[in-house]
Amino acid sequence: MPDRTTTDDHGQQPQPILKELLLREFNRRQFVKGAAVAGAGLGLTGGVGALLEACAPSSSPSTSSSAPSGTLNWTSGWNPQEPQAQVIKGVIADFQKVYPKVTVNVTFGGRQVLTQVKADILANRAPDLIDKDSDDIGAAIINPGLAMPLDDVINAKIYGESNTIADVVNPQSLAQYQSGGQRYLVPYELFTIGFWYNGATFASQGWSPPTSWSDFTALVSKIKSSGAVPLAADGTIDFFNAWWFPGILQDLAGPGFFHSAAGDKTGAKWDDPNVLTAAQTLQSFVAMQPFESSYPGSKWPAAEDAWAQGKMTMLLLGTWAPSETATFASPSFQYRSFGFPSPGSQDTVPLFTWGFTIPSKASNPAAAKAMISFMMAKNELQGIVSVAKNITSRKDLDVPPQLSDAYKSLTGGATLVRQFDNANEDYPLWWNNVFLPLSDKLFFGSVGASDFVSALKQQSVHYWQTQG
Amino acid sequence: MRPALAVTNRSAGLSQSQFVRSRKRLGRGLLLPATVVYIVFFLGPTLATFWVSLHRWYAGESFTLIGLKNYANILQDPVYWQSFMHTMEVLVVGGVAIFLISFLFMAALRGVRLRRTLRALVFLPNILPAVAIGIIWGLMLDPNVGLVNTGLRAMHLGGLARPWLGPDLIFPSTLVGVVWIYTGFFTVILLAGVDNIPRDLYDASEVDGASKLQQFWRITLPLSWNVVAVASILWVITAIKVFDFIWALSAVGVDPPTTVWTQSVEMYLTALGGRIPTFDLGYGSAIAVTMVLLVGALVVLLRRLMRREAVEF
Repeated sequence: MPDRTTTDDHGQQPQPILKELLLREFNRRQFVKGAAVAGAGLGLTGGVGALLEACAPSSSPSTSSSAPSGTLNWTSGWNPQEPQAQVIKGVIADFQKVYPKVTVNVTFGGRQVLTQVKADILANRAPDLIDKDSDDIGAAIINPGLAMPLDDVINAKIYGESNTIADVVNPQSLAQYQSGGQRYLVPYELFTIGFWYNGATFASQGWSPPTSWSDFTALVSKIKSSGAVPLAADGTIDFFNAWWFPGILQDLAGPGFFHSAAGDKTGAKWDDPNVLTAAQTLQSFVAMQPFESSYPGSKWPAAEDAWAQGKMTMLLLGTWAPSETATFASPSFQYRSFGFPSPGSQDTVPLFTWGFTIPSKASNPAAAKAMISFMMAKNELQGIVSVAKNITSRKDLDVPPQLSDAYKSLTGGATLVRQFDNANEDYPLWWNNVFLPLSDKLFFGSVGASDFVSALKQQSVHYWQTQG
Repeated sequence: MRPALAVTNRSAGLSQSQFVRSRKRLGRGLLLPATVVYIVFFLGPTLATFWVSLHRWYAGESFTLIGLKNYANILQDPVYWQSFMHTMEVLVVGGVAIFLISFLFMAALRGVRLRRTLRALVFLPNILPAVAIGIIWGLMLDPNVGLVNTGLRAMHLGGLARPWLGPDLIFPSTLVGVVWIYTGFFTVILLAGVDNIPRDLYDASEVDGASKLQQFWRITLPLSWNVVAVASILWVITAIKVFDFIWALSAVGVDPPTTVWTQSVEMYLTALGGRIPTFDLGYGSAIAVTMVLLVGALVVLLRRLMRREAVEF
């Protein structure tokens, strides 16, 4: 009980009991008034809430007190004219009907957008949501510890559904960005690579998709003998060229070897016989001259467009090949594909993704998580299939017919591996400055297998020495 | 009288030195804003860049002093030396080509009709955005469908068609583009210097039987030497900085290949990154410092080499 007989610093008694009583009465009245208002408010809210609850879908979070609000700043790696960007715009329009208190600002910044994104994160202006190809997000955002774990949204129910993201998404794709028991990326599009061809041409020529490396080289010889150009390649895209050597090495030495050799500071792993064998395999293949004559200088997308027009027979490209070349292909073009034929004992198929991550410095992660949950809903993600003509990460969504061969290679029991063994993500400077230039030289036939391997070893050792 | 005169002169001298001092104070005061701007926006960042170059610093991670280790790594970095050589090729080969063509234009455009129109046309590539030119050049140089090879084949010169953007030819192709963009700019500068030379000197030399080459060597070059010197220094700075055209020509959704890197491209990719930003600010700053030192050394050298007594006319 407060002491009301104490004196103040000047020895004066404070206002006596009357003040105390008045104060108490004031407080009592205020309390009663406040309680009445609160009670009325709660009653009203409850009533309205019950009304809305009755009208809304059973799992609508928009009316709950935890519904997201504010501004959601979303940076996407798609270009504005790409079909995925159109799908996203549609998703945003639907999202804002369900969450009217959220204003979504989306920026379609293209493939080089992470330079700006990372600068914004470091300057405390992080976007709330990023979507881009996962290799790049991994290297630039997740590996440096700039992303937040997303297990809560992965394990929560998808908007409007009884399933969680973990229930419906391809588990290998979900596990790719897991560290310390936490997951940092929600993939929504899956990719793999394959050799694309016109099924009608193969049928008319009596050619069959190969199942081994020797079959593949035999097929290439047959196509050359017929007077056609076996393969198209846009040689100015160095990471397209880089699919060859690491892919062959993964098949010979198993997944993980290329990554371990890339990170070996002594360079000893490059002495493994499989490395030279892989280089010799590619060297022999290039010596067959299977590509169009000027492929080292072919500026993307000239070669893939020429392939779609029937000027070359096959094209090594990702599952975006049909959607990207559709405008150049004739109506009778039948998109078919086969996986990278293995010259070794392993049968590996690279799996890479495009997905969402949320920077740890995001100012509105709640809205970002709500958007992820919303877009992963079947009716929203369907746009990636029907409009963008690509494969989604949901196991329960169909794939476009042109991608059925590629989807079979992903789900047919082959060993799914990380593209480039993830060496590009974990060692981006080594990848750009050491590996890609040498890979191009081997792919263009300007260096032999032995010289390639010794240069790769020497430059890798030197690189790691400069990294301290 | 003398003391009075002396006093008068002395007081006059005192007044004069006060006047000079006050003028100096006024001058310093008037220079102060520009000095502050220069220190804050030029000198300060330059010194800060040098300080960062003495550290290992990946943006967002720890800032660790390592002394001159970045520079030691530069000395042993084959990628850096390849970029340096490309920069030197732009500077020397590109510079010789630009100045030769500019002198030819200079000779051709003097005294012709429609001189101003032709001068504007020559200057046009410098007005167009270098990024747009780079993209268009890239399309023109595609080996299968590009304008260059298609045109050669149409003229039955298909044997000359090449993969201009392949690893062996992409840098020479880039160099041709750089020369094309900047020739007009330097032509206009040199023409401005030549326009000041009195016509009667050329008339007199014609009477004496001088050829065009002799006129150029004995009249045009000596009397426009100051302008040539300034243009040379401008070219040194431009050549070492050139970035936008190279990037637009060679980066198509991916980073440019190392076969086309100059120091400016390598610095950008190292410090800020392309598709995967690495933000190696320490090493990138060290590359930037070497570029500043290179520009400074070359400018000093050029000024010494091109210094001569002014020719009055």
